[in-house]
Parts: sequence; structure tokens; C-alpha cells
Amino acid sequence: MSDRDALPEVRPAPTLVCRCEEIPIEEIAAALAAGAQTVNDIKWRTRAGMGLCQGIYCVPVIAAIVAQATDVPIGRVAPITTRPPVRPLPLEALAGLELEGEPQTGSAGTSSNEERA
Amino acid sequence: MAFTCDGIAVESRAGEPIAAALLAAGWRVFRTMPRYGDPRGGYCMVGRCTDCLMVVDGVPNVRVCVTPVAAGLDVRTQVGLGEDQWDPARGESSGVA
Amino acid sequence: MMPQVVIAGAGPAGLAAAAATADAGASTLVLDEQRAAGGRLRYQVQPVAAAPSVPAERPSDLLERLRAEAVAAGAVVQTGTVVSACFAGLELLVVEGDAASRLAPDALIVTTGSTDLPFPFSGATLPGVFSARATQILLNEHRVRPGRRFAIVGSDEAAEALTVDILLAGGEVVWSGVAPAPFLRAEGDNGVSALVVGQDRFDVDVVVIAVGRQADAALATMAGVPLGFVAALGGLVPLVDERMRSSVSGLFMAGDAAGPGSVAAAIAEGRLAGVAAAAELGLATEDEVRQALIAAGPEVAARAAMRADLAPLHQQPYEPADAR
Repeated sequence: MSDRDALPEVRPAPTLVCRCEEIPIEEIAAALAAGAQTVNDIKWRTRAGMGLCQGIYCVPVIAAIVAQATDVPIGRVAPITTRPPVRPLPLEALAGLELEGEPQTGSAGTSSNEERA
Repeated sequence: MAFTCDGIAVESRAGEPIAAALLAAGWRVFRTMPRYGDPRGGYCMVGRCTDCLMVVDGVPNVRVCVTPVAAGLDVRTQVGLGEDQWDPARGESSGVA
Repeated sequence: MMPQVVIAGAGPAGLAAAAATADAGASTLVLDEQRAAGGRLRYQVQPVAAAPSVPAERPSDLLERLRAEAVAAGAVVQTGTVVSACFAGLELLVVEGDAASRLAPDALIVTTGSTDLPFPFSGATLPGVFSARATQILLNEHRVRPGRRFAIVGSDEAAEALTVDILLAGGEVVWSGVAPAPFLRAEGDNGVSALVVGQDRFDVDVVVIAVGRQADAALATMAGVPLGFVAALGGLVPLVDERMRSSVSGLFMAGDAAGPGSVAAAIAEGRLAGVAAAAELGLATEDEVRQALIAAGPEVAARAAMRADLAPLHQQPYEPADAR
């Protein structure tokens, strides 16, 4: 009996494909088994890609899984559809936004954290 | 400059993000996650992932990797989405710092 | 006054573009979501060459020079501000803290850089597991060493550069290499204490995931710029022509946002995009654009060739609720 046999049994932590929404790889596999064909399909079924990072830390991995599962080259697997805003937006920000008429000059020229010559 | 995390004093340098001060002081767990309760302690350091969300002065879901320290801040390890730790008198839990 | 050119991202590409458009006479506003400008020049410390033919210099010196050039030319650099959306007609939603506003420039140059590629494995979410960029930010920008014994998963130049950064910070690199995800396991209770690689176990308190970068082109994608797959450029990259112009009128891209590459390529593409944008506004000549193309160098030409070859894989039409 080698030293290796004496190692205690370790229960590995689940491999989370989507860190933000805590989606383990088993759920991605289940979505595929249930008929998901695209990365968007997987996003809709599992919520992977819907979290704060909007898929940057999971979509490339899910795309690779979809490529293998659907026998499509990785270069032909479409990513998820991304929607504005690029970053989460506090509701207070929209409250102050003028939606009608011409766009204002915004904070350019009035902000304290800008520099100019 | 000093602030507290879970009531414990933490030294920090002016201008640095809260996360940097915590990591320098040896803190590891910033939050536990809502679904599996697993601990997180920062991952991206640019405000893009969910790992560094903490409760700051009664406001949950603050990205401490992009939030500068301030004297006397009351920082808490966040449990899940922090609903039970939210102090409405302090501000909105807006989901983003 | 409404800026004629808005540049999203104040890293090397964005600052180079700003100097070019401002020099040509366009009112130029550069916005960066971080509290300080510079992009990767903020957190990389090993010497970097601004162009293929010049000696390497300290990233902080290069940043200072790029920023000074942009500002001296008349560009305004504003930090802590996100270009949050780009609607039809280059209508921008710009957010600073909890204040939002709209801008409608004549040209938008997207230089939003790149982000780390993911590599999930068992235990990869434990405290103490960081992306490559996060590790550099901690060590080099914040001057914090998040542990003492490091393992690096990854083998590209980034992993090598990181090894030097870690050693310079007084850390130890216990293991560095690649392994398939099923062979990897980070273990620990409230933070990583070991990395298992196959049958081996390494006592570490930091694990760095350094498997490469991908373009961060979300803003451009939402605006309708098509994406194509180029493995050598980190995966999906936005399609721009040789003068960094996309199919969305007035929208240009440069640097890592158009595919991860060197700082020198980012600066050259930024300058090229700036001159091309200025030409579209009637502020620069075709000849000046051609000169910028020639001066851009072989890496930029190679990147353009890679993009030129591919067919668009994915394009989002942006469908506003009410067309303007």
C-alpha cells in the first residue's frame, strides 16, 4: 500500500463555470442534455452570464463546452447577446437624466476629476 | 488612516481601495455567496466580478476593490446579498458601488 | 461644449488616439471608468517599448508622457466615468458615480482594453485565487502582497512577467505551469492553502490564473460592431478595417479592445484610429492617414491581416424602443 492510498478523501469543491451566479459545470451539462444548442440557450436556462460581470468570466468557457457538445468549431460559436448598460447603473443616475431634447454636455467641463492643458 | 472590518481595526494608506488594505492586513474572506454559501475574497480587482462585495457603512454590495478607504468606515463581511445587513437609513442597496 | 470626439478608455491606445485627434483640432474627451488613467500602464512595472524601434522604458514614465501629450494637445481626460451605452447615431450614455448624462459626439473611439480569460477548476473561487491582472494590480499598483507562496496557472508571456513581479515583491513561486482543469484543485477552508496538480500537492496561499486575455469589446458589440473569432487575438474580436474603422459610422477601435497585443501596437493603433477619425471629420488628410498606416508597424499590420480574413460571426443590431 503506497503513501497515496493513505491520503484522506477530499470532496472537491464544485467547479463553478459562472462565478457570479454560482452555476456549476453540472448545470451547464444538464442544460445541454435538455436541448440547449447555443451559449444564449444556456444563459437563459441556467442564468450563467447574467451576473455582474455579464459573462466575461464564463462565456468563453461555455462557448468551448457548446463547441464540443454540438460539434461546431469554437470559431463558429456565437457569444451571448449583451445589452446596455455596460456596467450596472444606480437608479439614481437615471432619475436625473433628461431624455427629451438634445443631449447635454454631460459632465465634461464641470467635473473635478478631469485634467486639461 | 484606520477603519474597521467586522469591528476590528485595520490600518490603511490614503487613496488605496478597501480591498487592498484588507488583503495587506491578512483578511481573506470578504463575503459568502447566496446560493452555496462559499467564501470569496476578491478575484478581478477592477470592479468586474462579484467576489469583493461587502457591506460598507450599512450599504451592501459595495465593490471594495474600487472603493477608496476613508477614516472610520464600518466595513462588514457580507452574507449573501446583504439584505439582512442593509441599514436603510444609510443609503440604497443599489447593487453597485 | 459638446466634444467632437469621445474616447472610451484612457490606456495607451486611448491616450495616443486623444493626442492625434486633439492635435488635428478636434475637441476631444477621454473617459476612463477607473479612478486613474493609464490602463495597463498603471499596474505593469517591467520595462515596455512604446514602439518597435525604441528602447523599453518604465510604464509609469510612458504613461506620464502619453497623458501629457494628450493634455498638451488639448484633450480633456476624465476618470471615474463610464461610457455605459452607445445608441444609434453615436448617442452615448455616460455615467459618473450616480450621475448620468448624454453625449453625442461625431466620432467615438473605443479603447476599452482587454480582460482576463477565465479558467474554472475545482476551488478556483476560493479567497486567494486571483486573475493575472488582479495580481499585478495588487503587487504593483497597490503595493500589497496577498500571500507569500504563489502558484501560477498559465504559461504565456504573462505568466513569465508575473513570476518576475512576484519575486520582486518578495514572494515565492512554488509552481507555475499548465494542466487541464480536471487535474487542478485549489483546497482550503476560508482561503486557498494548497493547489493540487494531478498527483502533486503544493502548499500555496495564492493561486494566479494567467491563461491569457480577451478583448473587452462589450460597448462596441452593443453598438452593433460585428465580432469574429481569431484564436491568436484571444477569441472574439471586433471587426475593424485597416484604419481601425468599424461598420458603425463614426465608431473606431484600437488597442487591446480590438484584440490583445503589445503596448506598442496599442499606441500605434490608437494614433491611427485618431488620425482616421480626424480625417472623417475633415480635420486630417488622406495622406496623413496613409502615413499613420505606414508608421504603425508590422505588429499592427499583422493584426489587421488577421481581422481582414474573417467573416463576422456575431452582430447585434441595437433595437431602440423608439427609433430616433
